[in-house]
Amino acid sequence: MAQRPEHADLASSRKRLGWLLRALFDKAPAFIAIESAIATRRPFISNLGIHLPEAGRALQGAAARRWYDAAALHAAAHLRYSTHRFERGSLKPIQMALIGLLEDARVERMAIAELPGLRALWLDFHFVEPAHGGSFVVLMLRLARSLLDPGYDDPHPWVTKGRRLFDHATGGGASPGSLTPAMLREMASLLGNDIGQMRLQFNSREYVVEPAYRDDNGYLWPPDPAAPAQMLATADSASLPQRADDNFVPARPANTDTPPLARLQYREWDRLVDGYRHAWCMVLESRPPPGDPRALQAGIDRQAALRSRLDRLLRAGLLRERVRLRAQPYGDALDIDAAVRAAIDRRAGRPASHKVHQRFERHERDMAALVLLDSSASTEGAVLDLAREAALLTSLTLANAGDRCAIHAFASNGRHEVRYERAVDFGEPLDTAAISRLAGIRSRLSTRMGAALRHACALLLAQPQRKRRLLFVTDGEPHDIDIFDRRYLIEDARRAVREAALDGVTVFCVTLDPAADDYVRAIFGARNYRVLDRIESLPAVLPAIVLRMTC
Amino acid sequence: MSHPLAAYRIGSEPYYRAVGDEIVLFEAAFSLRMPLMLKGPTGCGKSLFVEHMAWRLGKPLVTVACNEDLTAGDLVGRWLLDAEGTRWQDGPLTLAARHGAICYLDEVVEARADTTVVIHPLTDARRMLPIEKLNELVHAHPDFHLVISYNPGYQQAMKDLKTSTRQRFAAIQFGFPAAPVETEIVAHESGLDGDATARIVALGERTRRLKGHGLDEGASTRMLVHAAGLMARGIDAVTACRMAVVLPVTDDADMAQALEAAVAASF
Repeated sequence: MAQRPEHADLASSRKRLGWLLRALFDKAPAFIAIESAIATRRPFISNLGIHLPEAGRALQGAAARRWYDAAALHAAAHLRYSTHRFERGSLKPIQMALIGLLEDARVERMAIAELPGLRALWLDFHFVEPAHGGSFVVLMLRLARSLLDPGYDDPHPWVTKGRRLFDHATGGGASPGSLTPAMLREMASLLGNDIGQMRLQFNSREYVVEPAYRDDNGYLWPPDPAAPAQMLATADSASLPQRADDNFVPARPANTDTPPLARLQYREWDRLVDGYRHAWCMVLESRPPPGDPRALQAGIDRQAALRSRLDRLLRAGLLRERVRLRAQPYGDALDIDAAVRAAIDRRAGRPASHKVHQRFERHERDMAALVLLDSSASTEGAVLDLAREAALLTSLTLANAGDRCAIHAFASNGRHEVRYERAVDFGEPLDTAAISRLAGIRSRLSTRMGAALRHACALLLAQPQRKRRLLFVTDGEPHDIDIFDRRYLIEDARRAVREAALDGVTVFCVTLDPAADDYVRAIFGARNYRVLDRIESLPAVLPAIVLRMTC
Repeated sequence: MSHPLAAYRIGSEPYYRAVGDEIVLFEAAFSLRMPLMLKGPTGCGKSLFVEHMAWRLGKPLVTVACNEDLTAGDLVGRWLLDAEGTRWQDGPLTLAARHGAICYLDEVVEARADTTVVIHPLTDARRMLPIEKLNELVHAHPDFHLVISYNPGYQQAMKDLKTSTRQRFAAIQFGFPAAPVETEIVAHESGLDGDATARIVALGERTRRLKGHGLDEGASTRMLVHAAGLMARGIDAVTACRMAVVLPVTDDADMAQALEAAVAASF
């Protein structure tokens, strides 16, 4: 079977581990990366979840995947079976280490009783042999292997004793559940004394749990006030954008028709001279710097019910687009009714139709949609947040239905500076990076709609899709610092919408200003806008908008 | 000429292990000729149950697997051509109504809602089927009984029964049986015995925890029977489960790896 080349780090393993632990243990802990900068040498369990190294083990591919499986499943066995917290009391470090080892063996045996295949998974990482020597670390490894591997016979008397004690307490290993914490303490203390009598070195500072898939067993003990700082791993590191340096990455390869980050001039309609001023406005493209995606992501997560409603809406629409064409001259099957009519005609001596077939045709959704946000200074705060959320929800829904989506924003500073920010470009996934760019759009400057609309249309026309839709999200009427005639920019925007319609781009407006009726109606037409004034009205308004965008 | 429904009679007893009181409930509904809806996930034994009940009641069973291209004509019947001219051919629903059979519409939500409407006059007090193309009113045979099956979880977002359709039916809920019963079923159907069957059933339960978390449905009893059948033929457990469970149930590479690891851990 062909194997794709693979890296197995935590990021690529998260989904698999989540599903695996849910299936096997009915647990859904978070998997948190231990950053390589932190000097923890073992996985650990905290109240946040299971902490695993980001990557960087010497293993690769399937072997690394097995290592992550082994580590996560060992930790999950603790979550399931290590319900007791041991008291430190007067325990010596060596006894704590031994309790950890015995508890590891106990939970693994418990898990194996239910899931026998786990023994082979974990044993892969126990390769110690008597030949490796008799130091304390090696003896611990040998005992760990001996407690897990029934086929391994260790001649060392201390290892044999450990196994005998363990087997005795568990009825020959058959009932690991009967091992109580007190029995584990007792065994640890016996075995610890033997180590002392053998005069073996135990350095509690250097000691780490072996094999490396096993966690540090900090979970078994109440929190130690003198705990090292390594436990303070950041839980957020997983949800932050991976890189902060991609704000000026071109969206497409440089050899496509429209070069990225362009400066383009557009004409503008002057209502007083009743004609266009050519090459009048300069549109400057950029990509917004990444912002903090968490607030926006949380907003979207809160709308899960709305999202599934929107998805349903579009899928129902998809079904309707499959149509049966009857009485066709050719097709996949006979149209029985047409065939009967033709036969009747023929026998009656009338000319018979040859159109006796039927076929199905699926009207493919073939749509590009651009959401254009007005990010002028007046949108500062809640308004822009609402616009962002509506834009993202719309795009997620359309992208889910197979449409090609983009989210851009604009603001102007006179006709020479219409700033146009491409937050999410056509074909880009709506992932954390895209959401953080969307979150990076800032409110500033003014609203010169016409130029932005013309540029958005040009970008839409460059898409290959048959249907092209532009959703324009604004909070107020157009204005700019170099225009004092209120109707000038309104007339120009209205002109731009008409140009778009002639090019086959349907423009629909969502206004966040409840008092917007007169100018929005003038620009977009009486039936082509919706008012969305509060976040609470998203569930009521968005389905209508999404439907409008589709039909 | 033989009876038109002779081919639809069930000769020998189909194996069915009752999980609850579904046999009693079905018999009561049948005695009233009350239309029945069997709800439950795919592969949990709904179709097998109907076959078993048809055998138990000694009635012929006409089954229609519904799909979205199914038209009302496909159910009711249509005119065909032959040497003498046109000839009417009863559809499965008409056949069952005219001659008295249990008519079973499997996965009825797959059919379009307007197709489903043709069953309405058969499912209320009228118990009749108007065939406009034939200009005939068929009064249902006293033995006629309509049963539909329906998986509420499956593609629920896309398809649903009309209220006017669903309110004509009484319903019996099906689910995956408890582990000991499911083990018994898998052992009987596959011929595999012993510990391995219990392990397969335990694996099935583990995959069902992933429903809604990456899987639309966990492994069905039918899938587990397949896996056990392959093992009874000498295929090793991991390979059999990969073939019968992991690969059919998902196309997602991460999910397939998670399930393979779960299979490996289960044996």
